[in-house]
Amino acid sequence: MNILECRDLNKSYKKGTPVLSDFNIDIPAGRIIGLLGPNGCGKSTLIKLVAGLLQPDSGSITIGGYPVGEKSKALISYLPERTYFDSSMRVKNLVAYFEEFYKDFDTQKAYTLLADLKIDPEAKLKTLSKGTKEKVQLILVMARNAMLYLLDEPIAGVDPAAREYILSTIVGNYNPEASIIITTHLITDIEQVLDDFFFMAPGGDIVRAGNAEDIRNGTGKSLDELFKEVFRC
Amino acid sequence: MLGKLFKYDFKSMIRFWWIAALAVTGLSVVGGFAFTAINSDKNLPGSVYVVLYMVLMLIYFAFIAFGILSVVSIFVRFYKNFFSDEGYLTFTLPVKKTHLLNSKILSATLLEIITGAVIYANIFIIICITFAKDIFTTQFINEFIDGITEIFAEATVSDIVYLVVWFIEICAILLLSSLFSLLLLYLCITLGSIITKKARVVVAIAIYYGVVNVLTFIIYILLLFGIESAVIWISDIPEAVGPLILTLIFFAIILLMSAICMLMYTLEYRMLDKKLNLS
Repeated sequence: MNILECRDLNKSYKKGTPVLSDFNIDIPAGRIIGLLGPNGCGKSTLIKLVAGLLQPDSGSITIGGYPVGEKSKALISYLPERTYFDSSMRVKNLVAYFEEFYKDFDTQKAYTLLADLKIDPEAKLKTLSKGTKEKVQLILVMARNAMLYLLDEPIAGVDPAAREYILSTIVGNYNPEASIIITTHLITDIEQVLDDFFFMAPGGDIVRAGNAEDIRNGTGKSLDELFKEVFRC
Repeated sequence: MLGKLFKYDFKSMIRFWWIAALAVTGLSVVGGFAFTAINSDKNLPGSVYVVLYMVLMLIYFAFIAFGILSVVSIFVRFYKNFFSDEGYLTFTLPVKKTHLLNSKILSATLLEIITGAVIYANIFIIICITFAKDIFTTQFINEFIDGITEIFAEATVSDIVYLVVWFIEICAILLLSSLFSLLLLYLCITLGSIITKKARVVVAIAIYYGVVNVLTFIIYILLLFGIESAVIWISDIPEAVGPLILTLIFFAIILLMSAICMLMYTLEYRMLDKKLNLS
C-alpha cells in the first residue's frame, strides 16, 4: 500500500517557470526514502505541497488515502528547514502543545529524548542556540507515531556530531510501519540510513530512482558518487 | 480543537495586554485624585496644577495607547501565527482551516470586548474618585434610586420592550462593527501576504489605510448628500410609529452589517484555503 501518491502535480511560483511539472510519485509504507537533488529542483516544494503549506496549480495528492487536509495532517509529522516555534514559549510548553494537538504524540518519548540531549524542559526557546532549537524541533517531530515523516533538510547547517545524533534519532524513533522522506543534498551523511532514493532534476523530473542497496551492489558506486555523475555540471 | 486553538491564541494576545491593563488602572486611580485636587477649593501653587494637568494628559494618551496595544496584539498574533515561520506549525496542525480562522476571530473579539470594558471601568473609577464626596452619600443614592424608579413607573410596557430591544440591537451593531474592523484587518494582512513576499506588513498596513480612507470618503459623501433628506424623512414620521421605525432601522443595519461580515469572512477563508503559499 502506498502511503503517499502524487498524480500529475503541477506547481509554479511564476508563470512559465514550473517547479513541478506533471509530477507523479508513489511512496510505499515502511521505507526510508531520500529525495535527492540539486538546489531549486523542487524537493522542498513537493514536501510543502504534501504538508499543505503550498497549494498545487493542478493535480492530486493523497496521504493514506486522504487528500491534503485535516485527516492527512494527522498522519504527517513534518520537520521544516526552519524553526517554527513561538520563541516566547518554554520547551515544556511546546511538549504540551504537541500533546494537545497530536493524538499520536508520545510525551514520555519526547522527555526521554530531551533528557538524552540534556535540554532543560524549563528553558525558554529564545535562550536556546539555533542548533538546540533544531534538536528540540526534531525531538518533537520524531516523538510522534506518524504514518509519514517529512524531513526537509534535517541535517543542513548542523555540526557533524549533531548530524550523527539526528540520524540515529530518526532511525531509532520512527514507527517501522511508517515511511520517512528525507530531502537533502548532503548525501554522504544520510546514505547509510536510506532504503530507497529518488534523484530529482530541476523542473521536478525524477531522473533516477531505486533501492539504495541494489544500486550500490549493482554499480559499485555510492549514492553520492552516482549523484555527482547524474548531476555533473 | 477550536477550544485548544482559542486558548493559545488568547494567551498569546494577552501576554503584554494585562500588564498594560494594570498600568492603565493604576493611572486612572492617580487621575481620579488629580481631578479631585483640581476640583477642590484649595488654592494650590501653579506648578502643582501644571503637574496635575500633565497627569491627566498622560492618562488620556495611556487610554489611546491601551486601545492601540490591543489592536497591535491582534495584528501580531494573526500575522506571526499564519504568515511568519510559525505558520509552518499552524498550517500543519490536524485542524480545519475554519477552526484556525474562527479561533483568531473569537479570541480577538474577546480581547476587544475586555479592552472596552477595562476602558469604561477606568472612566468609572475616575468619576467615582473625583465625585466620591457627592456620589457616596445616602442622599445621592436615594435620589438615584428614586429617579430610576420614577422613570420605570412612568414607562409603559411597550416603552420597556423597545428599550430592551434597542439595547440588544445596539449591542449587536457594536459587536458587528468590531467584527467588521477585525475582518478588514485580517483581510488586509492576508492580501498583503499573498501579493508580496517582501515587506508584507507594510503592504498590509498600506492596504488597510487605503480601504479605511475610501470607506470614510464614501460615508462623508453619503452624509453630505443624504443627511438633509434623512432629517426631512425622520421629521415626517408620525410620533406613534417612531419607535417602531427606529427598531426597524437598527434591524436593517444589523442585517446589512451581517451580510458584509459574512462576505468578508468567506473571502478571508477562500484566500487562506486556496491562495496560501508559505514559501
